[in-house]
Amino acid sequence: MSAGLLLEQAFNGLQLGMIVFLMAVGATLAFGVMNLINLAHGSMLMLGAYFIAAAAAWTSVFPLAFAAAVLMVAAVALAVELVIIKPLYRRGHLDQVLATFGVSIALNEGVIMIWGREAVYASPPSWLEGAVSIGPGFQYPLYRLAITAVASAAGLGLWLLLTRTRLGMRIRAGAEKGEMIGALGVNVGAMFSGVFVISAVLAALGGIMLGPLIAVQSGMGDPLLILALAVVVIGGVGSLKGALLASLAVGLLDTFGRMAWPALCGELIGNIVANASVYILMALVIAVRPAGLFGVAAR
Amino acid sequence: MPAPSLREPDDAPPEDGPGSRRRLLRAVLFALLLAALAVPLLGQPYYTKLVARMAIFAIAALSLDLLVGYGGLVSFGHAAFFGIGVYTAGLLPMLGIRQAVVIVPAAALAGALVGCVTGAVSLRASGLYFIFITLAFAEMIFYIAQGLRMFGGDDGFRLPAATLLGGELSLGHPVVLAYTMIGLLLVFIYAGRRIAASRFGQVVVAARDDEGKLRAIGLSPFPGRLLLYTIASAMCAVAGVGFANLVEYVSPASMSWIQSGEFLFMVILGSAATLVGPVLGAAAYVGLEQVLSSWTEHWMFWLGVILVLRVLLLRQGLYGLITGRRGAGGA
Amino acid sequence: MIDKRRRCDRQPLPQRLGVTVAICLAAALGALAAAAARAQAPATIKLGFIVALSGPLNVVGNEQKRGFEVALDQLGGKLGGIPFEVVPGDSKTNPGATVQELSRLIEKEHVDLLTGLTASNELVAAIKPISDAKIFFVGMNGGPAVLAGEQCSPYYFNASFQNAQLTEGMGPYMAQKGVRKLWLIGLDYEAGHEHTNAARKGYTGEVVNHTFTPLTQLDFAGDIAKIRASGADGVFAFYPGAPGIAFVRQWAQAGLSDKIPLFSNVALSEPTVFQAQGKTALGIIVSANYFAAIDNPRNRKFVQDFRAKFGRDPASYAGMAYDAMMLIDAAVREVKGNIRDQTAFRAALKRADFESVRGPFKFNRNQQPIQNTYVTVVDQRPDGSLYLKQTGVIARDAQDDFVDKCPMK
Repeated sequence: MSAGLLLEQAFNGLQLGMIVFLMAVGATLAFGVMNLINLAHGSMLMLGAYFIAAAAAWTSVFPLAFAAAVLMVAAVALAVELVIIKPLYRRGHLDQVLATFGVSIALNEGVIMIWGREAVYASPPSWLEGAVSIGPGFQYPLYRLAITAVASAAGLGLWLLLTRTRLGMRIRAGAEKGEMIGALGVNVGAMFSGVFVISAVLAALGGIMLGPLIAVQSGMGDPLLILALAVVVIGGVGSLKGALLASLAVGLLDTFGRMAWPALCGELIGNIVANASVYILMALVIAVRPAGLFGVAAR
Repeated sequence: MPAPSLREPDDAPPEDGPGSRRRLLRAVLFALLLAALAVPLLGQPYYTKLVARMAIFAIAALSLDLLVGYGGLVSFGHAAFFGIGVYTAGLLPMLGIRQAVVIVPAAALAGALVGCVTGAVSLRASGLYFIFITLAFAEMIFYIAQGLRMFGGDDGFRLPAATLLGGELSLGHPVVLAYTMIGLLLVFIYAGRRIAASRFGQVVVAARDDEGKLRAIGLSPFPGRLLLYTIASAMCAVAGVGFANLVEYVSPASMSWIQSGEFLFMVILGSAATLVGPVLGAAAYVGLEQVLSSWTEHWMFWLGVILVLRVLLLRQGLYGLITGRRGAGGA
Repeated sequence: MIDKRRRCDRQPLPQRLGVTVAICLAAALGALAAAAARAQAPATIKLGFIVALSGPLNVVGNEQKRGFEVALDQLGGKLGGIPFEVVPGDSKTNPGATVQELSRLIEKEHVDLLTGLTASNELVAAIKPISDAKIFFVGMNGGPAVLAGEQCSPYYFNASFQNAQLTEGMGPYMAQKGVRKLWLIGLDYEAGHEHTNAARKGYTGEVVNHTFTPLTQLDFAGDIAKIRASGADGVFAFYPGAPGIAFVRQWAQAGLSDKIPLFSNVALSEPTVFQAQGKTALGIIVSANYFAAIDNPRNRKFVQDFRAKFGRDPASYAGMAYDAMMLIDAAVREVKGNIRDQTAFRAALKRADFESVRGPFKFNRNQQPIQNTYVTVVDQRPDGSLYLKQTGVIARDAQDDFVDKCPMK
């Protein structure tokens, strides 16, 4: 096992972690602020990937296509929030789980109805192709670095939004005590819509960036959704710090685990453990700290 | 606000007309039971299998309703126990065991064991955490099944031999399977009623409604919930044995999180916390799936739409529509 | 607190009663009607066509349907001169759903013949109901080892390929092309093991590693990193569908396209995924039993019709679906429509006296194909479209390895 391989895997783990973070931070925000479980979150990632593929077919100016894709997802998310999600805030978790599950099923089939079953082509912008030299004799694809960088920037942007702006302050206050800020005159409904759209856009960002890397296909967001939810639970619901740390831990654990477990436990058990490692971690965390690492006691 | 009835739901006195609602419900259920019992006699294997499928999923949905409706515990990993039942029915014949009298209790025991262990950890969490920890455990069990290459891994394997009831009766025969599953369903409905009426059942329901008050009087919800979780797991595993015999195939797909989601769909389609509701929900779901997929290959889209509409527009599921009573827990 | 819900929720009793009684009656009547309207012995042939139109392999299933439709156009509503009707089904890439659909097709629709199926596990689940019902089934895609061997059935004819045949001869070919250190990688399910083992068969160099990735994994960064670090000078990858698209893209993005030759079979790169893979697929060496550029009159006509109808080349799934239909057509013609004479019909099917788009095609005694395996490379036409260009034949009239385990004569 060479240093080059370890370094490359570390970068891969970091990249996976940041993509999961984009999904997880939206989910944890939605739950922290609105007490909303959203199983349609994976569909937002999928829509991001489809929209960028569609937008890239209209215009070859990448920033334009990027902006168009983001706007389209935001529009869909807003529509979903206003029509389907709003009534659910008051309802129990069962209703939320089921309704968003239904939305996710419908959207998964919906993209097939519009774009067909075959995977759609999305290519990375030409100025992001190629590899960069990181360390001696070790090349890493530039595009993957870009993904990590963009995801980190988005995370930083979110942090700045939440800690340095009035809106962010209200959002954080809403997460603590929703009734109070309503009483203080803040338009809670609009704020909830805003939070939902932000979280959807973050997920879509992941999809926009992943699209050229993997296949743009129906249901592509669902495995990442499950991973993101595991991260949310590990990190503690409502905690951004928890989401970040848990995402990075999960990303690195998953990447290195796939190398290590089969070597440690033999192929049969090793593969099972490697696949299930995130869930095993989740179970361990819950057993020790039922509210996650940084979460407050669950509602 | 009066709590949902801790007694059997349809024994609660309705508000208008003495027993009219109850009579209506009884009439509907009786008609359905009669239809279910009559269909296998028509000699149409396809419809007999359809009835068997409805009964199997009804048992699974019923077991989930114990958790979701009565316990207020939304489990998104219930299919794991279904799958455990399926695999038990598939693996025991490899050891030469084919009798139902061994296989069914073995499946129930396996389900109960796994349920007890995973429940003990899961029930430490609540709310969102509980939902996801149940999902996590189900995924773990799924990956274990998928990783067992000697049993076909993700592809699974054909059921080596049908489960034998005794003598000439084999669950591989659709009529026998249908009647057996209907019989088990009735037994489990009765068992569910007894549980709801029992002391620990009442504790669990009280914990669902107001855990704080329960603790204030010195009772912990944990033991009752764990017992409920274990029983529900065992019941679902028994349904799995039926399923293995129905499709004559054993695969990890029977324990996927999508399958768990479908079970939840059935519970809510029928109304939670009613026991009989999920039975109606399961039958309706199976029927819906058949009808929709014969109309369009994009039937999943319409299924999703129906699910969303049911949650948003209807305040009650099928059971509630018939009796006018809402199930508990707002579902 | 007054509970207003109780008074406001209910609908009037007569209306509810009416609705529920109507539902119950409808259900009961439906069952009775179905029982009453049992299908009589048909004057036309009822052909059940069941493929995975939804689920993970839906791309394959839909391509099979396209090949099937071209066959329907050419047959003009008659199989071997006998009018026929198609009863479609969706196997949903799920063995349980397959069995349920088969029950509907066999027990409710009373089909006389069956064809299709997409995934190997669907096939394994389907064999028992089909054999029990004594209905002939012509498989259009895939052939798991167990059905070629111990569990072979006289009612199952595989008109596509036994799984290993798709890659037959690849091992020696890779060695011949100068691969000294081979890395094999595939999707971690039964077919993944079958296909990569088939590639390994007869390979004379060193196998550096033989790994598998989980079914849901779409990011192969870690695996590609390991391959690069290992010093392998050739890679064989088996990835159908979405993982295939992802792997090929990431392989190119990692800069390995012109450094390490990538071998596979048609699962990885063929017309259904060319559009999604784009130029990243160029240069991949692909083994196939069927590809669009096979040069014989039957195939030229088939490809021409397919292009006219769908605007691109057919993939192997379409070609084999077409072949299956032509096989059935020829067999029905040979028994003059009397398919109920099962001995004669089975013999006719086994004779396989039809022109396959693949070239030579015969059945073995286990009713699996004996056919050639070709090797092709992904190349580009002057108009920019991708296609599979033949570079050789790596196996001629190859049998599968499991025929000896099948008790059929």
